[in-house]
Amino acid sequence: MNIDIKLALFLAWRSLGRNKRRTWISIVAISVGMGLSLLMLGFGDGMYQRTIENAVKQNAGNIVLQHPGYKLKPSLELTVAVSPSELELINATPGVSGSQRIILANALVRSGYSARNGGIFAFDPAVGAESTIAKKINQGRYLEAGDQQDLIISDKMARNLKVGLNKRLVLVANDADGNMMEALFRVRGIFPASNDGLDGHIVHMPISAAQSMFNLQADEITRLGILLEDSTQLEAVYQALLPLHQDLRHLMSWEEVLPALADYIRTDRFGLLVFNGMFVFLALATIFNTILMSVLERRHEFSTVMALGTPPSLLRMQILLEGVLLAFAGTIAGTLLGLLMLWPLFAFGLDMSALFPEGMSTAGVSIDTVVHGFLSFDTASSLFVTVFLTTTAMALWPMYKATRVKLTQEHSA
Amino acid sequence: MNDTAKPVIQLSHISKAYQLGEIKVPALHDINLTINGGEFVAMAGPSGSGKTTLLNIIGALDDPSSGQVLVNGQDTSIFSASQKSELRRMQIGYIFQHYNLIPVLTALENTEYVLMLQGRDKSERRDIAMNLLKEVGLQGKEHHLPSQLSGGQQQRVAIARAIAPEPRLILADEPTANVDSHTAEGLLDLMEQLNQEKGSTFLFSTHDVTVMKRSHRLIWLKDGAIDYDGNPSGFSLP
Repeated sequence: MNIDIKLALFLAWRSLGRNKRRTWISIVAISVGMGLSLLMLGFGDGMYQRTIENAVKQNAGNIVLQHPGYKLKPSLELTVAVSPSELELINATPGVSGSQRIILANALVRSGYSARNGGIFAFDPAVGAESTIAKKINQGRYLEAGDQQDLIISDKMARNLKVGLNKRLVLVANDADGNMMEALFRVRGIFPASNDGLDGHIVHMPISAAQSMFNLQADEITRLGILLEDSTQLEAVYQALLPLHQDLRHLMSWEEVLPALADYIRTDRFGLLVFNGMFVFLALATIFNTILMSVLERRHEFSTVMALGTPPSLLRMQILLEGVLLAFAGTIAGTLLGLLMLWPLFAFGLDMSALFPEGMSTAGVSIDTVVHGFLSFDTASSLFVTVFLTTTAMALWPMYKATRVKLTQEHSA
Repeated sequence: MNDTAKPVIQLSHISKAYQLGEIKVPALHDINLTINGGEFVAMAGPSGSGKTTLLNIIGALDDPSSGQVLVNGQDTSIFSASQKSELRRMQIGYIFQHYNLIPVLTALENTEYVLMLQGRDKSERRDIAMNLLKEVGLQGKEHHLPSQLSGGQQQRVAIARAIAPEPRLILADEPTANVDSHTAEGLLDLMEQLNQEKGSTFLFSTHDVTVMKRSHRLIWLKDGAIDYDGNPSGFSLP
């Protein structure tokens, strides 16, 4: 016999409506589990997103152009040349929000007292001003257009070198031709190093000063970071960029340029998903228990309806639909709850500066202490579908049990 | 509506035994019985005599250990579970001792329930159910839940539910056991009226002597076998 879905739906609806407490317990369990999962994912993904954005701004771009040999052997001999006209074409490509020319190098930073290794990050000052380090500066100022022999260092390096603001330092390094060079710079700004100290060695300087010191041409750089309007459009923009520059065939994503950070985020997000899974599992255990109990306590009712000639398939469909309706209501409510809890994070962010007064960093990348939520449609819809399907699946065993009642025992009881 | 002369129930050599651990407990022994359409039959006997077991076997709720059961000429002992389900849905009305109304449905919806299973049109089944509830004296209580009805009212709904699809056979397991004598009288009047007017065949089990006397035929079971089958006036309680 064909199952009368309309009748099964009517019976399921009526059963849920007339057992309000049980129904609400189930919906609340699903929605709280899902809401908390969304909150955690939104918070975690917001942190990752900001970390990636910062990493991309500080070190690379969503897409990176650099010499093919540079990744294995970073050296000032392995530069790429990008002319202003080529840069203009790249910046005009749909999906590209901007680009940053970067020179990365190592140098010995020396004061009259001591010397330390420094990781040179040379930017156009206007681009560097958008970096987290620029925003963290608490002494002096960041680099500006027109600055030439000026540096930004961390407070950790300043302490080690026993220098302060506006004091002079000497940078000693090999230039692109292998010759030892040294140049005098003035400390324009000092930023607090993060707790892990991984950014303590960073030195920001104007790109023109770096080109001059390292004997590079005006269009020579070690890396061109290309920033995208939407990081999910990486492949499309990549394809559009390929014909624009002879070296663009060597384009890499930020994940290739910063594999340690990519691995860290993948691992950490896996942990987050496992933790989330535990929340969802707890909610599912409640649902399973509630549905199973609702079936077991209705054995008498089920035996009656089967004695009246209800096909077992109809009864099974009724139980399944009860699960589907609970799952649907719970996941919708859970999504709304999650979005409601995430809204302050979207709108204002969570200021964690009290917990991390010296700033936060992840995998060596400085990140803002104000964490904003981020929830992609893919993440939200995946969670929705997962919770909906698994909750519905919780009705399968009770559905089977419902039709296993012994008619003669139950209705004569 | 029904062919009153034709047999509705034909039992031949029905036996039933329950297995309790290693012990086999006999419940019915070599029952042979024919009930024709339109009969109003009471089945009585001491506790444990096999009344409910026999009703369950006739109603395709249970299987005999041996023997043949024909309901409306169909051998139910060879039916599959789904065929039995269809038989109960389409040809048998069942009235339970404990009413067994569906708790989440109103009196009206309970009465409509089997008609819903049969796929009847909504307006048709609503008319039938409303008229029946009126007939059983529950006008105005249509939208009450079972929990909002008294025992007698619930049993009236159960009767309305059983007869709504106009089955040839209505089985009732001690239908008056849980109601007071006044209500029991009313229920018997109602069942008898339906038997007379609609020609439905009634087979009900009972302990109540008054109920036995109201029947047109009495079957007395003793130790799982038929001890008496005939006019109630010719029977004296052992």
